[in-house]
Amino acid sequence: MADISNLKRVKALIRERTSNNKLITILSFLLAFTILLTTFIFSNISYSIKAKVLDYSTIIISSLYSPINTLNNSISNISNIINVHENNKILILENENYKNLVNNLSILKIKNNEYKKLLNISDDIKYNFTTSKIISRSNLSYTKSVILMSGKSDNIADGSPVIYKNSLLGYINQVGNISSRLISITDGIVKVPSIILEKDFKIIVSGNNDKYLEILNYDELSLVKEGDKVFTSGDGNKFPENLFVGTVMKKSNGDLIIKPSIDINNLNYVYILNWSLKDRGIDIKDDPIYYD
Amino acid sequence: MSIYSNIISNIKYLTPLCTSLIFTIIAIMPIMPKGYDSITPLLGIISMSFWIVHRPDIMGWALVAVIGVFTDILYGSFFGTALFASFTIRLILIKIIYKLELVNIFHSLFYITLSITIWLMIFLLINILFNTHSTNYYNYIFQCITSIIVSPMVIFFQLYLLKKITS
Repeated sequence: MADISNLKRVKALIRERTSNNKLITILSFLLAFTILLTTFIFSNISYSIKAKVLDYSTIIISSLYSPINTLNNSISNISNIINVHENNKILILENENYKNLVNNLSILKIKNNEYKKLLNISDDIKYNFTTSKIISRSNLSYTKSVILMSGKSDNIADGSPVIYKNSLLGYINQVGNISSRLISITDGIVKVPSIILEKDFKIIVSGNNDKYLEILNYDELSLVKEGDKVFTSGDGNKFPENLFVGTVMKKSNGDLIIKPSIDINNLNYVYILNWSLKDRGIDIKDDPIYYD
Repeated sequence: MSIYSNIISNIKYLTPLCTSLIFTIIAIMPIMPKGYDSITPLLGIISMSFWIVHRPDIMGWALVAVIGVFTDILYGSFFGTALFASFTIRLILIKIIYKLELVNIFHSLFYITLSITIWLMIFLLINILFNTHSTNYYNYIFQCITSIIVSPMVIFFQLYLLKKITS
C-alpha cells in the first residue's frame, strides 16, 4: 500500500511540474520555425553549426562504429562460409571469362592509344584523391548520407565528388575540421548529368531516397533498354566524366530505373577527388566563367 | 553544497538525455543486415518518446530541443526538421497522457507507435515539399514497422533505468 501511495505521489508531482505552460510551448515552436526558416534562407549559419557539432561527435561515433561493424561483418561472413562451395564454382567460371576480357582489353588499349596519336587528342585528366573512412551508415528512409572521417585538415572541399573504383558514390555536402558528410547519389536532392555511352544518349539521373535511381528525362526514352550502362557525362562540371553510375533495369510496371553500381553501405573506405579548379585543369585566367 | 556534489546528486536527471543521444548514435551504426539499412529502427525517437511519457518533468522542452538538433546533425536531414518533429511529438504526447492513464507496457507501446508515425509523417511531408518527383512510401512504412517491433527491447531497458532513477 505504501508503494502505491508513493507512486501516486510521484505521479502527482510530475503532473504538477509538467503543467501545460502555453508560453513555453509557443516559444519552442517559434524557435523550431525560426531554425527551419534560417536554414532555408541563410544556409551558411546552420552549415557551420552542423559542421562543428559533427566534428565533436566524430570521436564517439568512430569509436562505436568499428566494433559494431566488425560484428555485423562477422555475421555476414557466416553466410559466406556456408555458401563457399557454390560461390567457388561461380568464381571459377567468372575468372575464365575475366582472363579473356583482360586479353581483349590490352588489345583495345593499344588501338586506343594509336587513335589518340592520330587524332592528336590530349590525355584525360588524372584526379588526385584522398582515401577516407566511413564511420556511419545511411540508415534512414528519408535521407541517404554517411559521415566520413576526413575534413578540412585533409584538404577536403565542399562539393568534391566521391568515388570507389571508378564508380560514382556521391559528393561532399558538409565539411568540418576532421569530418565531412557524403551525400549519396540515391538521396532525393542529388541529380547526376549522365550518358549512355553506347547510344550517345544523355539523361539526368536522380536519387529518390531508395535503393534505385530514377531517370528524369521528359524526352522519349525508347532508346534506353534494360542492361544499358550509365556513366557520368561531365556536364555542369559537378562530376568528372566517364564515372560508372549504374545499370538500367525495368520495373514490373515497365518503368525504367537504374541500379547503382555500388551500395554505399557495403563499403568501409571511399576516395574523395580533389576538385579544385587547378586539379581539374581549369585556368581561371583563360576560363573567366569559373570562379571559386 | 559544492557545485561538484550538486552535479553528482542531479546526474540521474541527465539519464533520459544521455540514453536518447546514445540510441540516436546507435541508429546510424551498422546494426541491420546488409541491404536492409533503410528500414533501421528509429531508436533515438523511441527512447525520447519513452521519457516524454514516463518522466515529462525531466524530458522538458530544452532536452527535447537538444535531442532534435543532435538528430538533425547526425542524420544529415534538413536542419530544423527533427527539432520541429520532436516538439510536435512532445506537445501531442503531453496532451494525451493526462487523458489516458499510463497503466502498462502496451500504453507505452501505443505512445511510441504514435510518436514514430508523427516523426515519419513530418519527414515525409518535408521530403514531398522539397522533392517534387516520386517518393518511395514503402521505406517509410517498413521503417515504422521495424521501429515498433524493436521498441519493446528499448522500453524494457529504459524501464530498468526509470526504476533506478525513481527509487
